[in-house]
Amino acid sequence: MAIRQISAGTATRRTPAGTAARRIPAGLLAPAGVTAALALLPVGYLLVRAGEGGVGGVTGTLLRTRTAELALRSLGLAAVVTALCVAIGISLAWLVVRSDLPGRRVFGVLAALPLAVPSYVAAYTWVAATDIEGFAGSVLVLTLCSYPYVYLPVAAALSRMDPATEEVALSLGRGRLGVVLRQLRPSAAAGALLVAMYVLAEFGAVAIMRFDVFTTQIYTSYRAGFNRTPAAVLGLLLVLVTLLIVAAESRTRGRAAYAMRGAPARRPPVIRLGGAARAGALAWCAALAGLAVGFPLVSICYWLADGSSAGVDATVLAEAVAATLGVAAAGALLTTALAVPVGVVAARYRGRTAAFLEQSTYVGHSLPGIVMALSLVFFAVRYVPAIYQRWPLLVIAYAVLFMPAAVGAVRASVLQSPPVLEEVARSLGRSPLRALREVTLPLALPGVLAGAALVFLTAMKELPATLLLRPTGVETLATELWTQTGSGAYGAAAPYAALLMLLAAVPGFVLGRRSLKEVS
Amino acid sequence: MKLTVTDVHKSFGATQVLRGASLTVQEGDLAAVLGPSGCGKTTLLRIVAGFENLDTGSVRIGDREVAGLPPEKRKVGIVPQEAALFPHLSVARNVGFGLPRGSSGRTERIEECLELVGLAGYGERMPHQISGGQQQRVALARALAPRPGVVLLDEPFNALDRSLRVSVRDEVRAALKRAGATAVLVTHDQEEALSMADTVAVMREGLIVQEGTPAAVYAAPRDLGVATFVGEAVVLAASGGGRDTVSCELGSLPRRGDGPAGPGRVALRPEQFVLRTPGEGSGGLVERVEFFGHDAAVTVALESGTVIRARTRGDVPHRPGDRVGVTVEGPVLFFAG
Repeated sequence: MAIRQISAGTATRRTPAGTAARRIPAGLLAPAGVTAALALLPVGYLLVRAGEGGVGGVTGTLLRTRTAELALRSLGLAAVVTALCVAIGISLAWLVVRSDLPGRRVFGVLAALPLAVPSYVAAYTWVAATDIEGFAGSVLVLTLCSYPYVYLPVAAALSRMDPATEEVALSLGRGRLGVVLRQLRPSAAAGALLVAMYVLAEFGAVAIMRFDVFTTQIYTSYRAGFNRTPAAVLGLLLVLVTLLIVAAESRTRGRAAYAMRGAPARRPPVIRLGGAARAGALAWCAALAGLAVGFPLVSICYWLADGSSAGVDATVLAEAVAATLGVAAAGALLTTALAVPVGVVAARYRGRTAAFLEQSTYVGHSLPGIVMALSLVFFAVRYVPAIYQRWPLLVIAYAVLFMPAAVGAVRASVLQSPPVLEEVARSLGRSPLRALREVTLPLALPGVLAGAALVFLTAMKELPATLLLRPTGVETLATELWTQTGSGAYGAAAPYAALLMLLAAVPGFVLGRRSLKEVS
Repeated sequence: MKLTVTDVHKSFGATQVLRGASLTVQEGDLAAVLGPSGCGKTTLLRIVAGFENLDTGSVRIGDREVAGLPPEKRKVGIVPQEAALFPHLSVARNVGFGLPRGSSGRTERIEECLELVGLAGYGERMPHQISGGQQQRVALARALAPRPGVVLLDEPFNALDRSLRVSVRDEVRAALKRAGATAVLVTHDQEEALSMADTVAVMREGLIVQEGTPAAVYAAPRDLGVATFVGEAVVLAASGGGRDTVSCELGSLPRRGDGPAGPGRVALRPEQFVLRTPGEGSGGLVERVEFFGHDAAVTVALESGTVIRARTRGDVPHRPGDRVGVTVEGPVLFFAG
């Protein structure tokens, strides 16, 4: 879930010339329509289901004091974590990009690495080794896991910033700090909004920390319930809050893209740190890396070595690995297959239909996994009981959740292939669809595959939807970790945590290398 | 095949881009559509190719009306601005892209077309392994391979170095002629249009304002706009005196063609000015000499304040500050109004 938001957020929005209102061929429109319908299904059905509770049911749930309390807890957690992430992200980015901090390249990679730690794994390592829990525990874990959302875009903006603007400010007798901060505002704001969304949607870490928020309450009332209206209403309320944040984010995103357009001719000058500042900065960077990356690793290693993991049945572990790989691969395949028509439409066509098709797939972007899973459960139980608690439902859930990343990857890679190539193919006798198949898609293939790989890796560590929708009797790495942690079997959970960290390290490593390229 | 474009209108939203453009290209001719950027020439080309739909009007290739047909049904070859070769296909597969797979003589046709553009033996290279000029010629071979009714070239030499441009231009023209293709070249470069094309169509604000051979359009532009766009000209206030003379500050001059008397303007070509010793013709002061080798351009400020630019032979010994006399040779263009 972590990665999809970054990749969808930084995709540039660009429409090539010569794509004026052309009609979308039926061979493209039909599959894209299927994708959009599938992406809209969870929210749509949630509305239907909440509506069935009647006005009384809805207002009843909304007006409970518990609802207000949950809202306060969720928003409060999001606010505190976001503020901390902004402070940490900006300070780290500035030290890594602009100062002469020793080892800044290493710190640059380390600063992106928390993305490789699934938040519920991090939460497990903390509860397994310390007494921390509740609000403080949630803030600690979520901050350490999400500050890269601010760090990465701010570091990118800092290294692309034209040094001329600072020089002008200095020559006019003003400090450079004001100019720099003003230019960083769009990218920091975009990152902050991602953090806020991420915290609101978070389920695993807060549940492990036993801090009750919207998502955990939805899970509880789903588990408890014959009457599922409260779960549906709470889910919708959470979607609404998230949508407000998405709307705010897309506004800043436009401006952020503008602010970062093009590369400056020169690199900004490096600022020398004095002795005390240097020691402080080193301690700060090292402490963050230690808490965010070092601590989880050490904690897992401790439990692995402790011996209480020895009781883990190798067959069970192997089955969990196989199940995880299987559903994630199926999810990546379906997601990519569904994303291709929409990504192509988004890259090549303008107009209301094209915009609607593209935007509908971004619903997954604003839909917490737990809410989406809940809606699919409702839908399947009533209309297609044959797939309830079987793997197709889980694969569909992955497709809806990770669609934004896949559509973004397809669109970006189709945009890399100039439309004039399709026109030449048309003039040489190819229909629009054959021109796509023979020219555009082969050229876009590497990018599309990279998107599929990202979905695959992200799906492997997904927790809430997997928890609700996994086939009966099947456990994945994530659900095993969840179950063992829930029963306090920290040693037994360690091998799963270790494997999840390894899996998740791959995209984190790629992102880290990218940010390193921007730094060096 | 003959291309006939008749009275084509096209608007994008509220912007009228084509306002009744008409163009005829005879079979086997190379026509240049010449106009400033924004005149609608690229839109006209895209309408002929089928990438845009026209609002009203007709496009015929040979006897076939193609307006409304999708691009793949038109048999129109295109050579885009930056060659746009398919980067994932070899040169040979690029050229063969428009030939049905498995058709007999496909390989031979690919070879033939590569030979036509002087690139025999380059078939196995990938597009990034050949130069920009070669890419442009492969793009032409690719367009010619399926024997299209018309080939459209959209400013195909823009992306090339100046030094390369002239030679690629010659090769492209030669290949088109060898293939016997009917071709339309869109350009804003008047030198390119005048030197390459069999006919020139001057386009302005969505209309083709004049069609003819390069020499005819240059010698007899239909209005002052065409006169100044196709070739350089000094424009002076004048009045049409009798049937065949006009008078302006440079004296009474013979007039090209005939027309009504009355006030108007003359357009004088740089090669019509002759620089003489002071005292002959109108007096002036040399301001600037641009030497090109084969000839030179001399800027002279006349005593009246008018500034003219004259083409002279390269070996004429004028220096800035020299006094000269200026006379006009040959009939001049006069436009009433």
